[in-house]
Amino acid sequence: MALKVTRRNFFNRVSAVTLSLSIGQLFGQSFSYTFSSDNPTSNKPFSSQIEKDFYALSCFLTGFETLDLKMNAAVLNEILIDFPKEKAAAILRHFREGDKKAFANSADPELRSFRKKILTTWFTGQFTPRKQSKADLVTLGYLGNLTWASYTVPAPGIPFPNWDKPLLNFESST
Amino acid sequence: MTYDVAIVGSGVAGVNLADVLIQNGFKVLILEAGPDHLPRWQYHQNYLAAPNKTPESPYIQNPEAPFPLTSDLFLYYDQKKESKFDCTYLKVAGGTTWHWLGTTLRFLPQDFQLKSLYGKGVDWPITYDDLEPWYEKAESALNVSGDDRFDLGSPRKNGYPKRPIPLNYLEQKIAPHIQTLTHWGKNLRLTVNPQARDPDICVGSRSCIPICPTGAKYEAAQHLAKVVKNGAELRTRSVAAYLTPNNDQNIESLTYLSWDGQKHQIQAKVFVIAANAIETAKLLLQSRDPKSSKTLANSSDLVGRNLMDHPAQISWALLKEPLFPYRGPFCNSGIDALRDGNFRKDHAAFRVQVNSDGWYWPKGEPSGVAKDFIDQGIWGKDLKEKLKNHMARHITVVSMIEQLPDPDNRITLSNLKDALGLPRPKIHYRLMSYEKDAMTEAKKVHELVFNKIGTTEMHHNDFSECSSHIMGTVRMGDDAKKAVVDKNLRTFENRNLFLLGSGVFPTSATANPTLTIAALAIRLGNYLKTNMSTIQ
Repeated sequence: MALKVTRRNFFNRVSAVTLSLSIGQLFGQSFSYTFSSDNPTSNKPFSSQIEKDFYALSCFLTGFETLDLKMNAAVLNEILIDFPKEKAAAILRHFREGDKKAFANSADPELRSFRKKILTTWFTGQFTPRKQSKADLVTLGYLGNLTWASYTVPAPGIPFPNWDKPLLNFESST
Repeated sequence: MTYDVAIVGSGVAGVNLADVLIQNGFKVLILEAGPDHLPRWQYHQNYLAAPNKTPESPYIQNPEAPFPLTSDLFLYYDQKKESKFDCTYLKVAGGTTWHWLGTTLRFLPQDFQLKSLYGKGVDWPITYDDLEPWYEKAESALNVSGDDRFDLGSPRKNGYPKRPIPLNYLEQKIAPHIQTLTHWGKNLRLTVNPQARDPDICVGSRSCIPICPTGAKYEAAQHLAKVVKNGAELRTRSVAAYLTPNNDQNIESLTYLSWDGQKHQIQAKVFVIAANAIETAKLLLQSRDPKSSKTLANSSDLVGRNLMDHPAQISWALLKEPLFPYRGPFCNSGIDALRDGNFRKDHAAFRVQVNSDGWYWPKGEPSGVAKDFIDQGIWGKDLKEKLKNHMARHITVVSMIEQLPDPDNRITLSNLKDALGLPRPKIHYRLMSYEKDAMTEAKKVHELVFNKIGTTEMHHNDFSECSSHIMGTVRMGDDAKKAVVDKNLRTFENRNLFLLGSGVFPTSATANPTLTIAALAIRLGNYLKTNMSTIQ
């Protein structure tokens, strides 16, 4: 299959400033990628309280107001490899009901380890290899990790034109 | 069935040759060791799903047609650890242009006369002027974009076929600073790279290596489809095993193995081996004269010798100001001033390129930077902001170093075999002081650039990376004792056997080799068109 996408065609199909960019649609693929850091790809309800609590904690720790729900579920699964579900649920309940800043700054080794694992997984998108859905999980982590989202540039492999201009909406905090 | 021309290899060399031959009514067969290529979207998806994003990650490794992998250099190559020859290539229809960078520099006129001008290496048996018309045709075939306003040191009669790819914001901002610099009395001006990349199709996907999702970059695979449509016969999964000469030292047949291990023989008036610098040499080493048991086309003992690359000196820095890298094609500009000069008597020339992909080459994915911040205890909006501001200030410059031909840098046949029982390539490779001294000089130039444009930290690799510009194993020359092929790329010993690709380069110079490969291919096509009747 020869796939030629001219710049004009490309912009006809995908508005460059539209925040949600469906690469799946563009390439006839089954995955999709959220271009913006602050727009979930889907509005599916959380499947459990632990997932909902985990989402809230993830937003708090990562500094993102909203996060991708598929990534949220994948990151939670990754966390549950190191932390038993009951333990994780208890920590998340503690976060929900307690002082959030104190939680984030706590020197408790277990909490620190929990926080670090969450942040590292969200920002690297690297998951423990699994037999099933390995390719989907790698793709999700590669496209959905928050390192690229922080920079407001999608991961390489995803179109991002106008490289001759400064990055839009970039506000230096240095 | 007898073909006019049988070509081994369906990459940029074989395809550009086949295109000329088909247009002139020749009956052409192309053999490809690898499989038919997959659809582009499949390669793109493979890339996204690959845990390690290497140049080969979208492509499927087959035991019947194995190729070297960045992630496992010993899977195919037989080499000692200290050798560390880490150049890679593909075996698939269309060859390695699936994952090439796309830079299409011409050689400089001086590059063809290294021995005469500087007393190093050897001269080519052809001059720049001999090749210039073919460069122009190659630029047309590869649809090269470029900026006619820049003199890159290679005189041109006509402009580039396509308008230039826009420089990225970072390059635009640093160019005026670099222009004020001099080194060895030469002005270090940033020039726009000629590229085989269509500015009307490129949408800045930044995965030129290993796969362009939109087909903006020239790929021999697309060209191959056109050539096959026009009448060339393509046989994939067909691994050339050996050539057999007749009593007159003409090549009588080529034997290849299909992936089921079956032997097949083909006859042709002319055989052209265009497999690449490793595989072409390997095929000759696998081929013996049944009477003398001598290796084919190797009375000079140069088949497999003088293996070269462009060793890369990489340096990276943190800019004072955000200039927004990780956008646009990987490499749009460079400094050409140091590609030639009297210093070549003492050490290698080099070309400095400015990369657009941040710290990707030296440091891998930027998530490593995020990890560092997380390890420091940074979280929340602070983490997001610090990361954003850090990534916006990444810059990498790379110098591609000329490498002298060294007969001890070579490929031979290993005792280790692939799945079809063919020998794997055994590699011996090292850098000499000519290249190492140039790497030291390159670091100084990188520091000049970094200091001028304003950086807060800078780093240098203390080792060379490969460029996968594999050259020089079957070099061309005027003297049968000092070369494998003559200036028309015909082997000195077998009248109907021609070798094509960067293996025939006598010296490496500093230009990425693909455009010169294409120019030589088109030139050979025209030579065969004119001389076919007198060859046998």
